[in-house]
Amino acid sequence: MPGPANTLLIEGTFDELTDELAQYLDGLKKSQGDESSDIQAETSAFLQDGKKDEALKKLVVGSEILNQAPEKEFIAAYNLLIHLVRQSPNIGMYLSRICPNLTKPIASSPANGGGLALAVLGTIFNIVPADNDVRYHVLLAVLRVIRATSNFETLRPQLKQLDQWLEKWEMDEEESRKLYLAISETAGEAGEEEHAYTYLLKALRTFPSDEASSPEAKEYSLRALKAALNSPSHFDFQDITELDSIQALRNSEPIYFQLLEIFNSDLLDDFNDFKDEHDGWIDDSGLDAPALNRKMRLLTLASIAAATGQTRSLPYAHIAKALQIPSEDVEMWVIDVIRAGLVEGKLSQLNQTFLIHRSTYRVFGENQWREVASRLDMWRNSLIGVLQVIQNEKTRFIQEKEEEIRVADQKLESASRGLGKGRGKPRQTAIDDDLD
Amino acid sequence: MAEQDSFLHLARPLGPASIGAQPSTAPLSVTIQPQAIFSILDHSTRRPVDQERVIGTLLGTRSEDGTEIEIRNCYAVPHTETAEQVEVDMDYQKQMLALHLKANPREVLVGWYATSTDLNTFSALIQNFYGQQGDGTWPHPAVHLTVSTVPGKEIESRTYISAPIGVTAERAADSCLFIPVPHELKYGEAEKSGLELISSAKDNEDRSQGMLTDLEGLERAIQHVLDMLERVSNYVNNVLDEEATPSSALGQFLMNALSLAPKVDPQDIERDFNAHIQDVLVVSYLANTIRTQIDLSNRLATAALTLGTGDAVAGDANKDGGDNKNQRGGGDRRNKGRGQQRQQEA
Repeated sequence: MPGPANTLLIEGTFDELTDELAQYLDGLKKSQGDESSDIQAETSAFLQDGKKDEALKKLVVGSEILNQAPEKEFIAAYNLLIHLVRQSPNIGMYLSRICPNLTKPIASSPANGGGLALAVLGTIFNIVPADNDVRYHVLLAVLRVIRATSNFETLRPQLKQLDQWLEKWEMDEEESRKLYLAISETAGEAGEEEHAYTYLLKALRTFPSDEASSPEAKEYSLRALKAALNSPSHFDFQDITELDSIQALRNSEPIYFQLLEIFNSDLLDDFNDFKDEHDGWIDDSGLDAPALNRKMRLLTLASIAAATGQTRSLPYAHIAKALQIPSEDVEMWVIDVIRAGLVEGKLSQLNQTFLIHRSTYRVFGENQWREVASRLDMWRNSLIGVLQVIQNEKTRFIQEKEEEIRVADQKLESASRGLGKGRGKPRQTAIDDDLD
Repeated sequence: MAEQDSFLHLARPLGPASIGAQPSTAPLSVTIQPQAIFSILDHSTRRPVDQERVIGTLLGTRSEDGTEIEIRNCYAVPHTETAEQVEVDMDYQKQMLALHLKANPREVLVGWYATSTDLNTFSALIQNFYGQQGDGTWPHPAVHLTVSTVPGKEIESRTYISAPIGVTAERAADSCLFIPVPHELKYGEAEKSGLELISSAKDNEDRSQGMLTDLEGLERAIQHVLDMLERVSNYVNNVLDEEATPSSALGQFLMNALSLAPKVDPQDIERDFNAHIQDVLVVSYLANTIRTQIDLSNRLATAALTLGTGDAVAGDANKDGGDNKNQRGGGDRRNKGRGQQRQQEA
């Protein structure tokens, strides 16, 4: 069951309301020194002829002045306008006029202008049916306002529904990409690197495979790749490697791709070889060399931790050698890698080993899936064992209960047989027994 | 709950500024405690036959900046609705509110509910009444919660706040725009399992359901986990047989979940387990001893009553010394018993 179709509740006919709004607009214009405006007369002339659309057009054109309205009346006046526009069959046309007005700064309220504009845009978004692609344009306008007022945190909780929306609007790839890129840039400006990166990836996914090597795709791919490499908290390179447009870099930007492969699956030694081979390239291409070194060490540690297999322990000396660090620093690096969430475990200073509870696999291949399957089986088998024990105990318990009842019945029988002997006597002996 | 409608909530209407603070348009979110929903549903089932919907007042808490609202409680407000007019018992509402606030000083008025999903001009009127200055939620927006109560259909809930509409004061008084806001029903594990137990009664002939013992609960939980494991390993096997496309994120997640067991030596586990068993045995042994003592002293007390001879009293006093060392609770009861016994002797 869909929600109520109408959330704008106002009494009065279309003509009355149009007249009131026209009057209000005239008043506003006059206060701004524009005496010539007479929207009211023009609209009422149209209304008398029954030309509702013409009257509406007048109102929408005149609504530019609403940006000057006092902030208390701003929302109320815009809501009225939306209510009127909603009754027209050409709603998309009018809204495409109204939205640009709202993205302009609101003169009367410098502090809350963004919020006011967002409130009105939100209302417009909500009154448009959920599968109408007018919503897409409204959302783009929303993004422009959010970018201008650096207000990304208000939008963030709403973005969860984005994929659903795009599906409903049946957007083609280019339009979705535009939206994703807009979100990514807005997020980037707000300092939300993770979100910027996520939406950049989504935008990259919209490139069909035959366009994967286009210049546009290449530009965004490189941007995503740099963001992933430079980000201090991003360690999973598999998602980006799988993208078609990134795979296309293999030919166009072989050095970048080589670096990505190293970060995806190789160890510190390979990274050092790469640095020797392309001396100075990292600095030239605008990548953060110390950050890359640090990240590579963390990833290497994660790899060797994952490679320990069933022993699940790693001597300090091994770590020091793989990371090319002095053995005093091993504990610090292990703590860093635990903090990065790649490995979990505990350090045993006494034995100079690192006991691993859990480690992240950088490449999740068939062997890993087998491992998952075997662990699942183990878990299931032990649970089945527990269940068996419980069921056995339960049946035993029931049997015992029955036994007890049977014994009690027998006693009762024998007691009723020996009723003549009096009741007091057996009870007293029992107490005497206890006292002894 | 039914699927969420898709809507965008970015900003609330500009409220009047409280002194010293900037008015804000930050979006707000609502959390609802299940007990409020229960009492709304209860109210709905007891409504007069000819009434489509019933309304009531919502109480709860509001965070300092007004962005988070929690609905905790509610009460019914009588109202009558005809095609032309709506009447709400305002005196009743005022008095109930005062009484409720007296009982729960931490809760405040947050809005109102209605038991139909429709919004009409009467809704606008009532909404303005609840959001007004003085008795209403002013300067914060009033929250309107609609709960659909059509029998046989899923219960749907929606929350709204309102914004003014119209450019003249007379228009604005009886109209408003309802802005949908996100809401969340919050319930804990305990409430969920309780509700599951209650609702399992609906499948039984006599509409009753006994309580489960711990053991049955455990058995059920294990069955449940086994089912889930079955599902997961089906997926994993499909991946291995190359029937399903592997998702490395999912695999990574499974691997993490499966390696949550810490690395501990089997000997250590055995030792800890045995130590634990011994602890349990000691506790149960002590508990049994105490139970025996209580039993014994009770019997002694009643035995003295029925027999009423000097022997029993002597035996009782004799027992007393040894008993006090072990057990205090038992001693208490016996003292009572002895009091009765003295009365008897007197």
